[in-house]
Amino acid sequence: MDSRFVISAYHNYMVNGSLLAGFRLGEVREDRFFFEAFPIEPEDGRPQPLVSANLFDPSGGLVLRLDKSRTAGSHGLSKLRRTKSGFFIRSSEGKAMLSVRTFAFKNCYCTHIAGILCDEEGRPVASGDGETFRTRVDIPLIQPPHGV
Amino acid sequence: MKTKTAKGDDNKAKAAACRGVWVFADHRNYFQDRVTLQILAKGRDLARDLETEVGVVVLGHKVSEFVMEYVAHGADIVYLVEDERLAKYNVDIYTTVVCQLVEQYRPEVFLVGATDFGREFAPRVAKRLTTGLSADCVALEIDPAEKILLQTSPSFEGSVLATIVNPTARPQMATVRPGTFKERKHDYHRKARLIKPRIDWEDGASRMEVLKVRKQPHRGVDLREAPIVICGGRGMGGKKGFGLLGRLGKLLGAEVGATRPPVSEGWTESDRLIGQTGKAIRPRLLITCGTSGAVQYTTGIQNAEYIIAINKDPDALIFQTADFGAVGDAHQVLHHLMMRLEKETHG
Repeated sequence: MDSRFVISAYHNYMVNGSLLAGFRLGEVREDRFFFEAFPIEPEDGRPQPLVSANLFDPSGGLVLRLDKSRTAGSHGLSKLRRTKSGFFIRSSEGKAMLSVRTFAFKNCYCTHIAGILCDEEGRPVASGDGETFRTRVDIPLIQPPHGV
Repeated sequence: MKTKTAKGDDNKAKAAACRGVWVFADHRNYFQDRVTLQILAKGRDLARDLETEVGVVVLGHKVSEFVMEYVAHGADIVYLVEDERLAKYNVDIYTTVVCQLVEQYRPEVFLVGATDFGREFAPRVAKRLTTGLSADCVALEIDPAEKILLQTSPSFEGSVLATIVNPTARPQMATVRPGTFKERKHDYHRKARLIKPRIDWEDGASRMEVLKVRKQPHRGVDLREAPIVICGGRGMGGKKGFGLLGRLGKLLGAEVGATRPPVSEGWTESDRLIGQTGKAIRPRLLITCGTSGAVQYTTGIQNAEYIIAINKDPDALIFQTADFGAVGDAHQVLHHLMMRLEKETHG
């Protein structure tokens, strides 16, 4: 069985070796893990990754809530820092948790994700080294409709 | 035992089950070589007439940038096979993988750029799929009644243009020369479906190994992209006469091309050859001097926006193709033109 995704001519996220215009892991709930990367349109200017998420550490503790790449609530001293090409998040212990960077090609952009995402029970859901970002096979990766 | 009619009906039914216009992505020397984008544009026209979608077949390794570019230029579906084994063009492996895709998804039409690779690869695919292939097509249309691809290609050493059809075998395959069609504008808003098919790599063992790929350095003459081209034919009389075109080219900021006789006579280099066995060009302005207008040449200039022809024979065929014509000796006309241009340039 082949796999099918919606991709954009302008900007995509690199997940499981595929380009994706946008995607979501998990159901969007206040107390549960989810990670949603939104599609970016050319009107938005030079693309910055647009992510909403509830991020947990390996012990199942909530680290940070993200709402469209802005901090919506942090626990302890965890911090989100913006960079020219995206953002990264450090836990209260100063450990790098997540890095989201957008790379420019000649006419288009691609965002790479690095770090380990854990759910509310501390189980790893996805991990990436900046080149490859892989989700666990048993967790459905959902793409919002894009009218294709 | 099936009768001939029953077999024909079977083939027709099989052909009717095929859907989609496919374009093979040749991204080796992208962004300079734009044949894939040109064929994608034509593929969209054909797909519209067939009420279907355009798919682009991308094989390679780390090709995300090209994939997005093809979506921006009209692909509705991207069939992507990304693997280290495809990093270098190996015609054996590419043929096997593409044949697997065709058998899996059954496209109606499959277009390939007539690049060095395309010319090697497309016949192998056609042979393995037991379908036909029209080489170096200069026009592609859909027959409105039969809904089959009309493939126009130079035949009999370019003396005639033949329109070829493939009534039942699928896909209908054609190679298209770079510069034949015009690419669409880059559209950042486009979206497409990405399909990552499963490949049986056991089936893809190659008898050859590509050890190294070396790019040929760019030689500076890019007739296919030039906005103004001046082309000389036998009527330029010799190397000295042909040299006039270079002077005019400098004044106009134009590239100089040639028909077959000046190349054969050694008046200019072979990479300036325009026509059926040379380059197909699409400048905004073409000034064609001392050229007769043989079909071998005119197939390469049919997409020029404006053509000005200079020839001393008022009955020369080139005047049937040209938008404007000057009847007279090419040297004299060019001398007058250059004097005028030099006067205007230098006051």
